[in-house]
Amino acid sequence: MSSFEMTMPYQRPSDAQASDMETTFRLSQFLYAEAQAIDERRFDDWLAMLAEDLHYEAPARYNRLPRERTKEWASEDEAKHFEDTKEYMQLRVKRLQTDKSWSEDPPSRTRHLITNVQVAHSVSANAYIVDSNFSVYRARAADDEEFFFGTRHDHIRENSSAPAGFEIARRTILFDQTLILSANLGIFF
Amino acid sequence: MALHPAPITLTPGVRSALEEKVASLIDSETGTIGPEIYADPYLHELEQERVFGRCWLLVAHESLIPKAGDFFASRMGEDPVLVVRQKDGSIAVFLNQCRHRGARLCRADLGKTKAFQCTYHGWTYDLGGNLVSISKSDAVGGDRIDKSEWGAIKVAKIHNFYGLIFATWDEDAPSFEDSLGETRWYWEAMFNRPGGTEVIGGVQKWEVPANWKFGAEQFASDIYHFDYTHVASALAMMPEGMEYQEPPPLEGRQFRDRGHGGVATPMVEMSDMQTAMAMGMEVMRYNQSTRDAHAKLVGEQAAKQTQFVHANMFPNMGILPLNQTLRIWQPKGPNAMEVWAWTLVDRDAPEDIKKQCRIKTQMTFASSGVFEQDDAENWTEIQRVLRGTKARKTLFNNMIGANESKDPSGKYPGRTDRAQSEAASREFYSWWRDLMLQPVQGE
Amino acid sequence: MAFETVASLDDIEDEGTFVVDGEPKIVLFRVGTDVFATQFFCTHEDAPMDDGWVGDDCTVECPWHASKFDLRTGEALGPPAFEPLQTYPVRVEDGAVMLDRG
Ligand code: FES
Ligand code: FES
Ligand SMILES: [Fe+2]
Repeated sequence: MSSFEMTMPYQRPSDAQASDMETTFRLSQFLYAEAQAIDERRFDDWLAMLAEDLHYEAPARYNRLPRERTKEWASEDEAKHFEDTKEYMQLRVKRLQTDKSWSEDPPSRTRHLITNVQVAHSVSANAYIVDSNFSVYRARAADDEEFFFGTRHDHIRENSSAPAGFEIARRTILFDQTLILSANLGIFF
Repeated sequence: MALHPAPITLTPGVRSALEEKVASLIDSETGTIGPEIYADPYLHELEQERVFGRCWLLVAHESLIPKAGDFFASRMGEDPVLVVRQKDGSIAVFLNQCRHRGARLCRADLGKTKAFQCTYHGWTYDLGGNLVSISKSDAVGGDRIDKSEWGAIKVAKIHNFYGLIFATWDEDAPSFEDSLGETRWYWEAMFNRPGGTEVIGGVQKWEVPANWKFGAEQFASDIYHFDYTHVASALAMMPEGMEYQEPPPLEGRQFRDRGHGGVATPMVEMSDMQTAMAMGMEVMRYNQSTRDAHAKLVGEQAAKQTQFVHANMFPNMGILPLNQTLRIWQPKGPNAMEVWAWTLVDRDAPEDIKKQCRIKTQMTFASSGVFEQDDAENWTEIQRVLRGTKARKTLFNNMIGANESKDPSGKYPGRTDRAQSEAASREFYSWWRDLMLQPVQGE
Repeated sequence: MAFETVASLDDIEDEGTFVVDGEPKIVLFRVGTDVFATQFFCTHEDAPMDDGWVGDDCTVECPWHASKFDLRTGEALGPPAFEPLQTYPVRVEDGAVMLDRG
């Protein structure tokens, strides 16, 4: 492997098999529905799409010397922008719903554009392995605007009792910035 | 992304006009602040020279650079510096700038190296910043240049305070310990931990479009904002079945000296509950288990009777001992700062405790931290309002507190006021003003 | 000339180096149980090669300008160095590292 190639901070299950068109379509629709729930601030609906054993993380990212490019991402036991369980996500949502979370008053107007969706299935992980890119536009108050770009690596499970038929068990968010050009990561990705 | 105005070069005439202005903007007797100090690019430049060019500044924690050749690309004010572990175990700090034409010597945030080779024309510096090679020396007459005179610019002094690495550009700076003045007892108590401390690997960086002094001042002096700024997170974090009650009046004392400030409260049952809520039961129990060993180092009063809540070491190192966040408020023009934040833990703590600390600290005080967000929101809005001319001429009130100078109980050393006070903020700004009025070498 | 014992294998960390003083000054490089020897100074701008990065592919990268050299032949594998490093024969016998300075 060329040292210029990015070392990803997660392990792709070795038995992941590309899914068929219909499955890919269903999972894509699920991701769009999820994005819509976030953009419309229907956070209870969004929480219902997250598995009870959710692991939601975004490792910090670094500029590295050529010989250390494999360490571009914070390792397992290092700094993360998010490292949340479902309980923590519920807490974040609860905070927003108090109407006293000043950093979201007025609320951010977000637009999640989810693209480049690729779906595979892994028997060993008992989940769909779903990669997607995001561009998130955040407008707030009058002239406050921020842009977030990055990619996500998800483990999504079929769950017939979840309202949308799927639940997100794992999400790794990879931001394209090392220095986060934002006063806070107070929105969801 | 915040606006970064072009740098300004000050002349002696401009400096003396600015001195007059500074003197009129800060009135620590009555407690007022002229907010131009947060927005004026000329004052920002003078601040770079006279505050950041002179003070002891936190540049790294030694745990980031354990082995020879490990480096951390840090900042001293707006100046980029490299903090590098040497082969003999010592630490060097020097300007991250090539002496030939000024290219940045190292573009990585952190890592390990054997030398720093400039990518422009290949001049090479050793781990201590000494120029060891002028490339193509024979062909270009490099031997006419005395390499010993063209090393990277080194800081004047370095001090390792229980693992925190500080540096200053000022030859005449007082010793680090002296620079702490009457607040030394508090810093010793926070950082002289059994087995020492470390920061969780890497660093979190984000950019807040607000002047760095808002962060510094708040950590020095402002527990007052908590019940209002952070009410949403406090509500959301209430354990199931518990009712949110009016917070009891805060006991303890706010300490201040030489620009530093912070709050220490009595360690009571409630303090452990606060830790349990902020960091989890396991961390609370772990903390309890370290108190005997800690008392051997810093005494009973510091280790067993006192809970440290928040503090800022002048100018720009903030810490919340309870939430275990350590950060640097890096200035970035008058209108923005970068926050560089770490989770601070005991080096000897079990791995699962470190993990729990990391997760809890990231959740509360970090880029996505639920408390952090509301602070940044307030600071950002102050800064935005200061675009207005009228707004910049309107004095801020910095008068809260009883303005006491001694703890009547005698438990808390040094100059202290009641815990909810702005005495440490007045101290912060009056110290800032004094420094701004004194020229530094090399202006 | 003859082989002389200059170190024991245990003196050298894996992917580490060892300096043999004398005329000429020489660096030993260990890769697994193999040991290689080259001249001390880089052929480009005289960097001390004992400070180089030893690779498990039998290379050493100069600490200053990152030219790589093949430890077996001394060949410079990329710029800015072009001249090969002088190499010297090494034998490892019973944990003793023997060098022929030639
Ligand atoms: S600028 Fe660094 S070598 Fe020329
Ligand atoms: S000194 Fe070795 S490559 Fe330049
Ligand atoms: Fe706060």
